[in-house]
Amino acid sequence: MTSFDPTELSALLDGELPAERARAIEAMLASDPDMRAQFEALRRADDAFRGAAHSAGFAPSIHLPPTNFDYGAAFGAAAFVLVPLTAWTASKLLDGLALGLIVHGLALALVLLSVVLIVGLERPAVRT
Amino acid sequence: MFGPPEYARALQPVLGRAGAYARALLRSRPDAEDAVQQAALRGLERLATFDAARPFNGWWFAILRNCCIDQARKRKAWKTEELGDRHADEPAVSDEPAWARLDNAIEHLSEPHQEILRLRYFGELNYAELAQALHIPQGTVMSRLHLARKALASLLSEDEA
Repeated sequence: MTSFDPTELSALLDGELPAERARAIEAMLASDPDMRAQFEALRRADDAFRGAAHSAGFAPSIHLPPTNFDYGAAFGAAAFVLVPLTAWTASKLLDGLALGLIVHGLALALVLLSVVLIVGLERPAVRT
Repeated sequence: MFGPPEYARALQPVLGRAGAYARALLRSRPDAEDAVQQAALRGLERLATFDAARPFNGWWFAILRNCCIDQARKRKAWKTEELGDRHADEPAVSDEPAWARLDNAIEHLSEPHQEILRLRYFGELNYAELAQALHIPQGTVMSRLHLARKALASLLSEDEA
């Protein structure tokens, strides 16, 4: 008769035995009532635990800090500082009111666009 | 490379089991939620220690286990300080008689046996992941789990008799 290590019964239950060894153990189980009784006792404990664990499952909500580079926020910050500065410099240099208005209008549009991007592209926290 | 976005993605399918494991260990759903949140943040901080060649679940459940232990200590300290029990313990999982019987049986097992059974059933870790989470060789996982299950089977059959 082929020998077996009792821990292999648990491993069989857990599906952790190599296929060939699992088949050998199953063949032994079919022909050895004592071994089968041991296996059945383990299976009962396994079933009891599995049922309890199944009823315990719940997925907590977790929150992780945003980790991706926020292009929207970076764009907004850059637009907020650089565009009015460029507009002011341009209006001073070119002394043209029309150009100043155009550049300020452009600055305002970019700021609004960046706000939309920040709101729209904000990465949601992992939440279940 | 395994960065924060990959971490967040890998964590997502594990949360249900993590909640069950923490709840079984701490016997309180709010405490379990805190422990899982803490473990999620701690894992993110320690991402550099994760070896992508090894199972993610084993690595992360080791962190969760430590967070549960910290949470249990904190709760114990808080209770001593408050001299009260505003946070009434719930049975480990539910009020069902089947679970109460099992819970009672588990309490009679040694700490390493309780530990491995909770990780196996609530955390649904396989042998390689258990080995990583408990920092023991896979052969030890196999024998410890077998002995724990055998002890539990014997307690359950005594209870039935």
